[in-house]
This record gives sequence, structure tokens and C-alpha cells, in this order.
Amino acid sequence: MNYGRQRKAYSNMKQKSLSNWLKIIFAGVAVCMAVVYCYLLPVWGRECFNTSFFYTEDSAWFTPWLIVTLITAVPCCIAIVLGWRIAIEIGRDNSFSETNSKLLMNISFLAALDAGYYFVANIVLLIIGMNHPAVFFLVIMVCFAGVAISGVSAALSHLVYKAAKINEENELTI
Amino acid sequence: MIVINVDVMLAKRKMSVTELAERVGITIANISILKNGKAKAVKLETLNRICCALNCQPGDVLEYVPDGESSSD
Repeated sequence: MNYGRQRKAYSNMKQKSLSNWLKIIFAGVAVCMAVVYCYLLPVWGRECFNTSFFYTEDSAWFTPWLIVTLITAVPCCIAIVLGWRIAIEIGRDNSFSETNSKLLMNISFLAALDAGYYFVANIVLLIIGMNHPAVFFLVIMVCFAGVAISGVSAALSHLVYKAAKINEENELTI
Repeated sequence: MIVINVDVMLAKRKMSVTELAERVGITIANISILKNGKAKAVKLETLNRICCALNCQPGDVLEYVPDGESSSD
């Protein structure tokens, strides 16, 4: 009996640790995102734009591209909030639940939306002559990462949903 | 659906739900889940312990009720 209680206490502690660890990770990602969107992109982006590689006579290129890129921060922020909520559910010993499944599906949708929007927006800028092929190549890499995140989140959502159903059945097995 | 009627046997054996839960080794909440028909499955081991605690046959506590009909007395 005592061993069973000890195991449960250890399991709870691991769950709390995992929840706290996830929260630290999401907080770190949020800080990095803030640095990238608030400093690296506007400041370093402008400096890169002024180098001979990207230089163009039309200096209006950078601002529209920057605005298009900054808009991608919105779904990212929402996804971080959803991830934080998943960490809270894990801390409550509610890892396999329909709530977490829906949150993961929402993250998947946001990632796909963000990647799709960024890809299309950059193609449009490239077509109207307000983008650089090298920048577009980097954008493709970023969009690919977004699509990968979307796929992984969708798969995880399905697995968590199935696990939640098994968990529910298990809890109602006397 | 299968209905688990422990109330009749509890009354016959003059046993409380708490005592039954202790003898069977499950919580009172689980006994409630059994009585309310919310249980999705019952282990044979659990049924074995219930019958042992109530000194009865499985048919004394299990009753089949067609869906949509109320249980008989």
C-alpha cells in the first residue's frame, strides 16, 4: 500500500516537473520571439537590406516585407498561449484529455495558417517586384518548418484524443 | 443494458455501501458508478469480490434491461 502511494507521489512529482519544464520552454520561446520580432527583424533586417547583396534602388521594399513578417507573430503568440494551457493541463494530471487534443489541433491549424499566409504573401511580394529571391528561399525554409509543426501537432492531437478515450474507458472500468 | 443492482442485496445482507466498498476493495465513488450505470466495464475479479462480499450469485446483482425500458423490481 505504502509502495503504491510512493509511486503515485513520484508520478505526480514528475508530472509537475514536466509541466514546469514546459512552461519554462514556452516562456523562453516567447522571449526569443519577442527579440526576433522586435529587434532582429527590424534592425538587423534593415542592415542586411542595406548590404550590397540585397541593395536595390527602391528602398521601399523592406517595410512592406517587414509588415508581412510581423503579422506572422500573431498566430505564433496564440500558439504559445495554447501550449502554455497544455502545460497547465499536464500539471493537473490531465495529460490525455479532449481539451489537450483540441488545443493541439488548434496549434496545428495556426501553424498551417501562418505558413500558408507567409508563403503566399512572399510570393505576391516577389511577383510585384518587392522581394528578393534569396529572402524568398529563406521564407520557404521557415514555411516548411511551420508545415512540419502543423503536421506533428495534428498527429499528436489524434493520438491524444485516442488516448483520452482509452483513459476514460479505463477510469469507468471497475 | 446491464444494470447492477447491489441495493437489494445490501438490504438483504444488512450491509452499508461503505462496508461493501471496503470488503470489495474499491472506492465508494466506484460503487456509485456501478449503481448509476455509468460503468463501461466490470472486471471479473471485481464481480467475484462483490459476490463474495454479498454471498450471492452474479445473477442476483446483474440484470439485463432492454434499452429504453426501466428496470423491473
